Amino acid sequence: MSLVLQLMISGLAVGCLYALIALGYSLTYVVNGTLNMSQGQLVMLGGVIMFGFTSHAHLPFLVSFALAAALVALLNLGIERLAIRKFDRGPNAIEWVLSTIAVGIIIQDVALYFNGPDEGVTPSPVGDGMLRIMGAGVYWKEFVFLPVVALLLVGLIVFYKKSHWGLWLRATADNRTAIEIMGVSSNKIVAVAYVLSGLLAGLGGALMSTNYAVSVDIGLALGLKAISVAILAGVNNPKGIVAAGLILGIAEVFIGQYISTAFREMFVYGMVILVLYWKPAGLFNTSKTVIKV
Amino acid sequence: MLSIQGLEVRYGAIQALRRIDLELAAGEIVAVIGSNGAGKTTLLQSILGLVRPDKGVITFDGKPITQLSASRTANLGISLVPEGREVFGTLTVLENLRLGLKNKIGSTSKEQFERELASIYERFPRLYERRDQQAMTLSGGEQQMLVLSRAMISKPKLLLLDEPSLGLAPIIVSDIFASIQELAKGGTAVLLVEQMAHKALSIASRGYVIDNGRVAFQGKSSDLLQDQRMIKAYLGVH
Amino acid sequence: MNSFLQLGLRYRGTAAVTSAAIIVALLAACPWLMDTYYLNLLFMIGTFVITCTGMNLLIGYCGIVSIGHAGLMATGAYVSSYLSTQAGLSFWVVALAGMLMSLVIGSLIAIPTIKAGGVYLSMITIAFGVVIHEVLIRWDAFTGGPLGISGIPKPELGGYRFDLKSMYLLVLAVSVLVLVLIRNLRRSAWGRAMIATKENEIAAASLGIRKFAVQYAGFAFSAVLAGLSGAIYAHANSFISPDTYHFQTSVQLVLIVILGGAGTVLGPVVGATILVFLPELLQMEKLRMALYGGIMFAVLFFLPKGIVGTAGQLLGRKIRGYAKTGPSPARERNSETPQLFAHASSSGAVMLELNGIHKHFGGLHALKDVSFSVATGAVHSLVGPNGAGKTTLLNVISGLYSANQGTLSLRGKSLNPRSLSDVTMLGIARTFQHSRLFKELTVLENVMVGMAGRRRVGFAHALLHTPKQRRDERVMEERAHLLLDLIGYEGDRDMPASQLPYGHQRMVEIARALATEPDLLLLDEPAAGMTAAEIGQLEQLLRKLTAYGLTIILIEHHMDFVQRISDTVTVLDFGKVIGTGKPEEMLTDPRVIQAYLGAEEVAAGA
Repeated sequence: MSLVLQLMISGLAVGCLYALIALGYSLTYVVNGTLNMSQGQLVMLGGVIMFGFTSHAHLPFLVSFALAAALVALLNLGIERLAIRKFDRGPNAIEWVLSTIAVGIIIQDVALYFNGPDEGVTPSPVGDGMLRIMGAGVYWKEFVFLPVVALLLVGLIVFYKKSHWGLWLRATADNRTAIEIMGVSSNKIVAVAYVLSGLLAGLGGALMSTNYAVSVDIGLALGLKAISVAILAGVNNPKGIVAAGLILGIAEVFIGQYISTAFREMFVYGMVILVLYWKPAGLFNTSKTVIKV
Repeated sequence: MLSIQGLEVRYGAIQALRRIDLELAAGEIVAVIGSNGAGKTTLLQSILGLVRPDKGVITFDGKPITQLSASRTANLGISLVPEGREVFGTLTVLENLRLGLKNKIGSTSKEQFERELASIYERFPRLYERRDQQAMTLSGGEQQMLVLSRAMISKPKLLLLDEPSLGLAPIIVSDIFASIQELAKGGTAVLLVEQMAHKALSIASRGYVIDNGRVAFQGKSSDLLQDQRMIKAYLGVH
Repeated sequence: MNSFLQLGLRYRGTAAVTSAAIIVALLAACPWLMDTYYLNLLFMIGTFVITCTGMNLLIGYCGIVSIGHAGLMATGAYVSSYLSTQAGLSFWVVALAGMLMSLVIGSLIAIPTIKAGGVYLSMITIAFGVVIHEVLIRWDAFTGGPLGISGIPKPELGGYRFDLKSMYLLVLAVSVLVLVLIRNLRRSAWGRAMIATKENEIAAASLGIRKFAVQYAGFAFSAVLAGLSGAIYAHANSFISPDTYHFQTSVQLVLIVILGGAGTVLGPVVGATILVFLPELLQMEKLRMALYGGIMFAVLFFLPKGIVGTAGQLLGRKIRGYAKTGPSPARERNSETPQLFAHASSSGAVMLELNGIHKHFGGLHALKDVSFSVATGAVHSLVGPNGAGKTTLLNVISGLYSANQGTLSLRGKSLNPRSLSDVTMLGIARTFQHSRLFKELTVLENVMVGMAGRRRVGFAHALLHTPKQRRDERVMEERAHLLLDLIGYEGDRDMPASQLPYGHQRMVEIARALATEPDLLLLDEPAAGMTAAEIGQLEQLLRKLTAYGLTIILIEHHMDFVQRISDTVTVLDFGKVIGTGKPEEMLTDPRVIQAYLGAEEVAAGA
């Protein structure tokens, strides 16, 4: 029983990260139908920068955290401006998919060049101690993911539903034509979405580095897994994405424990393939399209 | 208030508008009527700046706005209510209205917004009833009221309306048209594009009949309503 | 210079073949001209050309960007290597097995991919590529795990064991073959159907082209080529491991295609050459991937048609400029249209009957109890104000939408269309409100695409350019010319359709619809945007068509045109039929005038 609880919490912790990263995809996709395929590399940067700031530059934890998140958010703003904006009006999604993939490759290689291949873990402010729940031993630094991410999600929801910029984001996601006819520059709104998305990636990466080893090559796998989560849930369904992320995290941990690590890696991609055979738009996707001739 | 001279717009190979001349004063309602594809929507889009004219001059409030983009003209006080009632379906009525404030967030105080809201609710009690409902649950007529109100919140000097009667039952259309008249009384200049020519002319003081991209003829509404040429030009019988 | 170029143009067919032969001969001499280091690079380029030509078809003609094709190369490599190392089978057998397995896996990938579109499509291919990579690492028993398979024997033929030189020649031969195949495909009905589907799925379906068949063919072709390339590489290198076949490899494959120019024949050759030689030239060990990423970015931004594509575009314009200085080859004008409309006038009095048609879109009741019949050989016009439901009705008749209630019957038999392409095969053709010509195809090819639904030869015939296929092409070309004559098109028929003036575009679209051999033609606002002269031509055409026994349903707003051309007019308003009758009656009917003008009391008389 205690093992199960342990695994649950580990799974939820990982799941939180997946959810956070996948939400980053969803945020921009609902606003203008694009996303940053290099989101995984952004998460990696968040982690690597966090580690660098705390362990090499010896900056205080919170300062590093904020800086890492801010830098990544700014980078994503740049990526939107350079790699996506030119293509988002095209009839074909493929240009921005390819250009953001290209960006991801560049980021990873450049990071390797400057940072080297080594991995590192950021010392967590809650220390390495364990917490005992019902006979199970859980690391504080892992357990703390849950409330932190929950807080982030709540903050995001509040921003999205109550704030003025959130209103504009929702409006653009709802009806971009109407926004344009109202003479509002949708470019600014899209930029905000990308900054938010980058913030989530940076925060996710920085947080992640407190419990898992980060190196420059974790980005690819993370990005692919997170986008699988988004595909499974339906990219425009944030609640579904959070649920799917948590479920995936738990599933991975249990499979890794009881079946094999090999199977664990293949699990999510296998799921994606199965789901895409059955429901190409994603399990929870609810949008309907009427063909206009 | 609005003056258009020699306006020409091409879409690639198609000449959508040929040498349009048009005048509109504050508080006036002017109708633009014509058959489908005659160029009426293009005209409104050129004024707002969604479409760049190839030739001609558009002057608003004394200033040339010919090549300005939509966000600039919107800030100068021109609002467009597009064809097809583009509401934000998943947002509530109230949220839709709040968006009407656009870039003037800060400069329009909360009280001013509340006052505007109050007058809108008075004019359209049904919007008040449904203020917390999602806009997509509203009927066609209610959505039209919503879009009209949203355009009015920013207190535009010029209101461009593209076929507000489209797809609405005649009774509702009368309601909407009555509201448009009220708005004009408040000093807003209204350019009303319509297919329902007689309805439009009944509230407008003047009308322009557009045929194949040109102004076929124009005049006072009372004259146009009697004009045989209207039926002929309208149905495209030359 | 001018006359030199014209001379070159006239003999350009022969010139091209001769220069190609010379280049191939030079390449074949390479094993004796250069050392193993460079020969190996050329070998690599060759293997890329094989895979990437398949991908070129997929990306350039079908519009499917697969970012997982490394997985298919891996399938070919691993299956063939396993069989040759474990079962000792000969290279030629295992290569075939590898290709077959790649075809199987490729088919599995194709199904959800083709169903999806846009972003999802690429994601699916990525997911598959990753899964295959994981399988390669984890399934030790078969793949040897992270260490891969080594000791793969070189191919043998009648006692002779291949070495690098002969492997290179093999790859060269296969590359040349593959390039010829794709060139053949481009000039066949399959190639045109693929491009049409990529550009405009709905228009292609309206011509009877089934998206799945066409795109699956592209996928299959690319899968087989990837598998073959993988098998060849494995048996030349003697060693393969999962490292060679991961996501970044798939990205490189895409880069090769778009750098060279998707949809061009030589694109992959140029792309592969650059990608293989550049890092060598720059002596880069580090940041190689960053370089590739940068190149990809640059291509997307500045050279979206790729190198060969852009060059082709620039040269194309120049050549067309010169070509116009000569007289166009005289074609005997044939104003008779012998077998163009085979089915016409064999239908009885009523062509189409609608009874009680209702159509909802959620809360919107777009069509309410629509009933009328269309007589065979008549021109039947549908008029009504904006939003009355005319196009929706046309969509129901042509199978794009299905009615919620009511019945349709065609030639007396119940019509239950499930798709646009079904309906086209039944003899109903249509055009659209906004021009949907295929911009990448020439005017002539656009019309020929219309015949793809009924007359497409097999895929193999198209690839191999067999005599049967050549005969069929000639027949189709002749028919297309006749149709263009019929609509009165006098311009350049080899011009890309994107350069057509608007009025001509609408007419060529009608010719394309006629190519499907319909007996009922649905036209959605054909006169929109046309000048008075063009409308006159349209009138002439419609009269000719009815003389051949075609039935025409027409949506129009130019009332005088409607009056002159129609036998019957149905007026729609708010989704309901206000009346059906002769044009003079309907167009002066007070109810109709009210519907258009919105008057409660109508000004006296009209």
